[in-house]
Amino acid sequence: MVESIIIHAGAPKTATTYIQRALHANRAALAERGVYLPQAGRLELEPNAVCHHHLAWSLISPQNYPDARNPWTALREELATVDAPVVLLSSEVFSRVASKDERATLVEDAVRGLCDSVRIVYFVRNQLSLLNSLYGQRIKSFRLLYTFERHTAIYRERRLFDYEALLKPWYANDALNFTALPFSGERDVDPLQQLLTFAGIESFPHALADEDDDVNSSLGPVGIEAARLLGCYLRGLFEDFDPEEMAAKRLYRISSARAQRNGWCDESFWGWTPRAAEEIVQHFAESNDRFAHDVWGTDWTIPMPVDRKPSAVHLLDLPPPELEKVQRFVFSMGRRFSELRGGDAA
Amino acid sequence: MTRLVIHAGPRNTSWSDVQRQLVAWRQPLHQAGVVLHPDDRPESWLTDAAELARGVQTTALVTTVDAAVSAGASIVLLSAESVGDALRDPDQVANLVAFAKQFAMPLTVVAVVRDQLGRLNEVYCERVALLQMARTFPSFAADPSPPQRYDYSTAFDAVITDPEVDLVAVPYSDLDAGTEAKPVLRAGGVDPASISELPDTPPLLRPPGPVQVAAARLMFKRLWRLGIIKRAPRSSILEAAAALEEHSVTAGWDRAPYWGWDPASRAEAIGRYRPGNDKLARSVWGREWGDDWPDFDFVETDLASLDPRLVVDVLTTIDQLVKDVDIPSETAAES
Repeated sequence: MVESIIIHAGAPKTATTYIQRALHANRAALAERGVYLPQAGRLELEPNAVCHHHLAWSLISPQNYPDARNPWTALREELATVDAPVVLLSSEVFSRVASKDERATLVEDAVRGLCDSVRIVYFVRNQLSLLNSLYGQRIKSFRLLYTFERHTAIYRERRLFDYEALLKPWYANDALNFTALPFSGERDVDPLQQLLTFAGIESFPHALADEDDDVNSSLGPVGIEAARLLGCYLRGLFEDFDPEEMAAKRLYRISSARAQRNGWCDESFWGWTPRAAEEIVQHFAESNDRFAHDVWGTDWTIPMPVDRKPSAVHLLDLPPPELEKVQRFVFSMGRRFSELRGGDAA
Repeated sequence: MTRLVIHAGPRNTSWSDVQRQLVAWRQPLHQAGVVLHPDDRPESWLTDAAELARGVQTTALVTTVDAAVSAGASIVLLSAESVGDALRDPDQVANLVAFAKQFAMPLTVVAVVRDQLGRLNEVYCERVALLQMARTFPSFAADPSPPQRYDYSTAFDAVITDPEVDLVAVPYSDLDAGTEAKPVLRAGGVDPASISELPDTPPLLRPPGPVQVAAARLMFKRLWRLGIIKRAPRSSILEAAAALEEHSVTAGWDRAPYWGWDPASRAEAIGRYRPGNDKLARSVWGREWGDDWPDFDFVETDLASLDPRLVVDVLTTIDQLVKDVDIPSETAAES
């Protein structure tokens, strides 16, 4: 019998990949401690991670999951045979479920009948780091070509960054239990242990997931500019380029690995100038305080790294050897993409 | 009496257009009593004028001036932007005065005075487009070389203080595209009726745009990284620069000229240059410099923000041009 379901719902860029891989790496030990990690709704492309993206995607785009393929139905059937005190689901895509008003109750509807106790756990990261980190991810995956300034001017208004607007439909919903955990990003605070502690498992000597990851590493300032130029080049070379196509997703992994080898992940990217950062802090100050009061009963205390030194670079100002490396990267990845497309077509 | 008029530029005040127009108008100017250097090539005008300032009188100049004076021409007009630098040196000014005296000609120096913002912007574009450097504009503008060329506080002192030279300063803003030489002729005392009959000539030079400047910087760094800048003869590099420019024009890379001053750097530069400009303006025009500072939209060139097809064209063009640079086989073998 399942006593409670914990949904780890994000946010994106709060060590979710690390948590999901670590859950997989420790699945046996967790099972011994009564934590069940369902198979239903898992992402096939990440066999070594526990990420239930299909559960979230099916709420956002139900038309893609007709009856027989509905992962929630599969989950219900799977849990009927499970005898574990705690069931843990994990997908940062759940934050996208919350990102629109009309979707907010979908999670409640989906879990109704599965278990009487459902708790959503959400890692809350300061908006400066979150916007900075999401920018790098979007550039790296060719979804975006904008400069950091343009990106933040557009995306700062998205609900994902306003925790009060994003999460109130959940924490103000009596049918759901909601817990917000501060995400510091510091090495000495382990988000997996935070999550497991919350699930009632203290001092779990877990095996860490392999952190030497050339795909998931964040791009540094040169890597950001190289990936932007590559994204632009691909769009110019292939008019129908789509970052969601399979060849692009494969190239993402290849180019990420190359970026890592080029040393473009050694230094971290920070796109904020102190002035722009201060402006963002002011922008979110009131809603952050209201959110913190609602969920923690205190003012917002998560540090905002306003004074962190910007590290963005301009491509044309790079020294010749680095610039040469960028151009070779762009040309070789362009050729590789062409091969990948050819392979897909074949 | 024949008068010697020396149009001294200075550099980056549309001298190439002026020279080209004067050559095109040689015949009507001759009829108006204005004699020019006998050779049409700009390099001859530059070399002979520079030599003259250094005290070396070339045969071509001496013969031309002698004939003009004998024929009773009203003006002998020499034009060379490089003389602008010579005007800072009293000795070189003295050489020019001596030459005029030798033929009993009064001497008028015409100088076009241009704000430093436009000049520095143009010099920057020129050097980048010719693949001489790939510095950022802010770094170049903060430390231009040579700096005295942009300091107007003493730029014409040697001329102003010489009682035997008549200095006429023409504001650069008086020069219109297609007729740049006309204000120079007016300042030199050419009959206004003759000037008004001279036809317009379309501008020859097209200032580089931001994409061309970005591409040239990228190309320079590529050539530097591959060691080609050092190994290839300068003529090959210049051919590559010309090919890049030609392609940028043919392909329509740019719609507007490059402008490197953002509001903050513009304000800072104006603060830096205004005192010297005021001093000059009071000397030559009896007024302050005023607000004669150009202002255009600053657009930072960010390759990844351009049209993707344009970016592909820029990258592949540079790649091909770099491969095409002619390196002597011995040098190539050594490397």
